[in-house]
Amino acid sequence: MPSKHAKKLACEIVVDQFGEQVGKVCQTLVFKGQHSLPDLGRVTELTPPQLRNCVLVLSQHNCVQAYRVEPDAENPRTRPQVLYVALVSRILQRLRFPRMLLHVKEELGPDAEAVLEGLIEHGRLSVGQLVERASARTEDEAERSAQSEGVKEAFKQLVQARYVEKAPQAEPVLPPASEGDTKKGTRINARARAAAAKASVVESEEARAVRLSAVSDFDRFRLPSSVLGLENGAPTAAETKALSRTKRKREAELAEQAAQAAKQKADEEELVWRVNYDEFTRRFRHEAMSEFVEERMGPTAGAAVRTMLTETRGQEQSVAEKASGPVSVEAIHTILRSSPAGSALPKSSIRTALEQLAEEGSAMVTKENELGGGTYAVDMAHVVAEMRERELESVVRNRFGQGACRIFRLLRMKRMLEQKQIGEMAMIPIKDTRQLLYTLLKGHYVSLQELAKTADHVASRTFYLWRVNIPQVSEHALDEMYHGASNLRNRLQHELAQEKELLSICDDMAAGNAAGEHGSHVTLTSAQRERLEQFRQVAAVLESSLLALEKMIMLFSDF
Amino acid sequence: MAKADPDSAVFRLEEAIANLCQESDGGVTQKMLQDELPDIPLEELGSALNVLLSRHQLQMYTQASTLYYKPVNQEDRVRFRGLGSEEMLVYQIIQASQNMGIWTRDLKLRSNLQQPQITKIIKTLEGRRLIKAVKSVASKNRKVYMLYEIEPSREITGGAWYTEQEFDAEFIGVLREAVKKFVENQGKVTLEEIAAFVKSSGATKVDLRLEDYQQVANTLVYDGEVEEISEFDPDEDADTTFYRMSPMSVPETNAFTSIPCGVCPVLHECSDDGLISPATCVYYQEWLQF
Repeated sequence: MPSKHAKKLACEIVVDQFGEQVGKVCQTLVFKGQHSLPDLGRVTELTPPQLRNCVLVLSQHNCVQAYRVEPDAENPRTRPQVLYVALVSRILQRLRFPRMLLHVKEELGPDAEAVLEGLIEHGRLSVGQLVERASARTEDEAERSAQSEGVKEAFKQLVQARYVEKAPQAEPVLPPASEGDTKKGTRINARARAAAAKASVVESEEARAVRLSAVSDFDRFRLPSSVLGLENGAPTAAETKALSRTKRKREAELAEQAAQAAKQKADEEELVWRVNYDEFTRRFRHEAMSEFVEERMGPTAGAAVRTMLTETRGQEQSVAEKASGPVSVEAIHTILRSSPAGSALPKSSIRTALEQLAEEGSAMVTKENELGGGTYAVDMAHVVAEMRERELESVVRNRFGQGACRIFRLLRMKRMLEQKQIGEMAMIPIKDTRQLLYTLLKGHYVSLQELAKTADHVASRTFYLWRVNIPQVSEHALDEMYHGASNLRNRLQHELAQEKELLSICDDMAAGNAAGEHGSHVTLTSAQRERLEQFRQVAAVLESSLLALEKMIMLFSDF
Repeated sequence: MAKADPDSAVFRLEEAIANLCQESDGGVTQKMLQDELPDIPLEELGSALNVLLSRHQLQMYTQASTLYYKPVNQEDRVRFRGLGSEEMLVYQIIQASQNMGIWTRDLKLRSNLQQPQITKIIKTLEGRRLIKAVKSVASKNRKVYMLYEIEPSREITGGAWYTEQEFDAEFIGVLREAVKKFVENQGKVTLEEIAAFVKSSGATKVDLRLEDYQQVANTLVYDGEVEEISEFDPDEDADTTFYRMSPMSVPETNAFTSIPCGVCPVLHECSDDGLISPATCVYYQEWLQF
């Protein structure tokens, strides 16, 4: 369940990017839950064509998922209806686009970046549309065909790296909950049904919509034949190499494809693709963890963990996987030896680093067995927990001071303490301790547990134990971070509004220059120029702060 | 208290008990008295003991859940002479409070005496050097009373960290800094090494116990500046706790704390169209001033 400020920020992002009307629809879905189209019309008071367009935009940009609910078997008269669910976490991840683009540019080059940019700009595109978009930039025929090949190659790389995936099903069907049970109609089944209903309450609307619409893993990253170059016969050598792992599978598939090539080709033209947000999150997560381990335990440990995470990436199901797959010291050594950076690392130092990582104090990896010189798995949940705690400690220290941070950490180490014990252990006078604890309590960073010795809960016969509930604190801090992000954006908009006049003059000048009117009659006064410079600095600070904050939000929301 | 007739049987019995107690070193038990004085009925023995106790000629103590009686020495007898039962009551309550001491209000509650009466009794007892008043660090204006010869508990005096009932934050700060520097320079040290260094450096004039050093070192651990590790120590032939600098201290700032909202005291009151809003925020104004 997204927090209050997460919802608010999501709506602001949508308004900012798609306008007021779309924002209105989004706001309804975000704050009031799933709606059918007629209901949405009533709430938002938009005309049916407007509403349809709004929902289309939101679906196109992966902000909303629809699903169909079939009539209940017990109640056949109910009409099937299509419900729309806002995907708040997906909307919030839109703030991550600049980071995704940069990542792809660094890993796969500018062509891939351009393809990704197209997908980000349009939400979902078919391969044909992607090619068209690229070729629209040039007039020259020869250049066009080269570009088309470049786009297809880049697209293929993106899909193979799982950065791009097939768009999910547009309108999956929610099977009626009580399908099998109704025939028997026994009491046991009634109970089972109740349990099932309860379970589905636990699953959020958003999670259910995502689950229903998911494309099977095999289909998700299966490349269309036009990209694989099948029109010209067999795949090229480069492609064969790239696909060598799943070659046999693919070959069988290719034979099948040939049989119904024509039909499939037509289908494939229709297929739309989109950015696979989760793969980016996974890469960012791995990178952040490796960096953390490196900083905490040294470069060898960092390199080992990075290798383990990269090696087992394909086995991960969800983004927030609790542990990596097991990798042996032998395997890490072999991989690192073939990489330029790790060539000098002896096997023994890798083993020592992993042993240290597995020790009780750090416990960042777990030893699985003795195979291959010791096989280890990264305890991702633990590493993420440590990363989060570190950031929380920094927030506590900066907001409430050194003493508060000491108390916060003390409570983390000792779990539960009384006020007097805290004062003694932290060596803070009792009066100040009390003050700090109450400030922390008010800020939701510590909680107070009452433990009455008698049934009447008299204060003098009650223990008051202080503790830090990390999940609760994290959730609260995350909401504050969303609030902060929303404030950064609002402040930027406020600054933009303030300098509106000046900026429109600048726009005019730029337009004039572009049209070739040299020596335009408008010039900026020195005061205006100064203000413009000032504005640019302010905007740069706000924007870079938002990007940095988004990275930290990612740690708490998606890792 | 009427003096007993020197010739009476009661007096002779008392004499006999007093002598028996005097003779044995560690005092006598009731059982021993019964064995020594077989023809005395139990009631008479009991009342004789009570009389002796009330006259402060004998005192009682328990050892291994057995009651022992032993004579009170001459000096103590002088100090207790002439004290009434109320004075003794107050004395006993104070005695029961041991090294924690007792506050006059609690004394009043327990003894059921009036405040002026208690004040008077306390004056008497203080004058006789039977009790003393100690100032508590927990509540500065509150005096607690305890037996004269008892060393006040560390909770009352605050231990080494209190000077004149004031928490000596500066002293602790100096110690923390010294310990941190030492760990930083030495790399890996034991608690004993820390103690030896601080003593030799002259940072403290007070004699600190090993636990005190531990307390100081622990605050550095809680701050995340220093960490504790358990490692095999060849000198001790066992695992020992070492202190070393933490490889990863709490970050000075992060992406959230470097924007005004991350450290804002009124973030929860901030909204787009509220009294506090991002557009009118003074912290933002200051932050974006170049």
